[in-house]
Amino acid sequence: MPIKKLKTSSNEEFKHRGRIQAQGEKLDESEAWSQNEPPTKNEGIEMAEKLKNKIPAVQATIREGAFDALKRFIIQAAKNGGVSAFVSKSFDVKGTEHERVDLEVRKGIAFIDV
Amino acid sequence: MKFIFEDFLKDEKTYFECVEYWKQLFEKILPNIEFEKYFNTTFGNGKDFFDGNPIYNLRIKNSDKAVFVVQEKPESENVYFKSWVDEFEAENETIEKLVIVLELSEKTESLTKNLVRNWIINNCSSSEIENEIKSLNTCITNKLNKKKFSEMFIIEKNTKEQLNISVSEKNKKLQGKNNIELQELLAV
Repeated sequence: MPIKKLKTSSNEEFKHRGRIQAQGEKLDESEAWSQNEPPTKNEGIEMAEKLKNKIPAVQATIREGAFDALKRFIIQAAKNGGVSAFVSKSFDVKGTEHERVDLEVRKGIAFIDV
Repeated sequence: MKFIFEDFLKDEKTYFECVEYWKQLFEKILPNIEFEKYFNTTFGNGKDFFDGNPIYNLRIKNSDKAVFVVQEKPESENVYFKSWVDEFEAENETIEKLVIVLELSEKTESLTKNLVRNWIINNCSSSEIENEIKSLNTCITNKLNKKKFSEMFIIEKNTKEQLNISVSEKNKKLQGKNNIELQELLAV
């Protein structure tokens, strides 16, 4: 089987990186973190809220359930010692073809409880 | 609709049996291909996410290709299956993952097998897979328009009306072996 070669990118200097993304047919917005301290539960929830407020109201409304599921996951993570890279979650909006909210933990850990 | 592992979110035993089911399914779909779990599905204390998101994921060794399956709570009367290709930028590399979101039934399992084979064994590019997904959506929606099939995509009223317009145009262009295969796959 022919296999594609890996694409590489430069190393990031920060210890913890990730993003929350609202994606869809006509939408691609995100809130990212790149820092030396792991983002806390509250910071995670704030990022989710910030993203929700950044996108058009109609897009936020259809993603209400997806944002709620994301926040529940962040809270659950904090209760259980956070999460470590690599983590990817897709919170799907049922009844649509492409609309969703994604979470990516690309490096380090995230959503610790303090 | 007959679901497989309908109660997978209700107790851990069923959940892990379901994970094992996916593992064995991928071993059958991808014989003689080495793959490994790529994304973490446990919290810092070792407890599983236990939410089917993802229920299973893998990355082909020495490749940038991955598969990511999200299994949702079965609640639709009709086939629920969505897919797309997404990139994941890790520290030193970028992975292309085929994301599949479904409610698990025999039909959605067949659709998964078909897409994964094309993605991994036939080594289709992301654009080729996206075209296949578009054809697949059109086929499913085409059945929705005909209203004579028991299994249909769940689409809210407004979305459905919009799709009816765009799909009727796309349907005129439906041709080719791939579409025929997909229609056969979806045949009730």
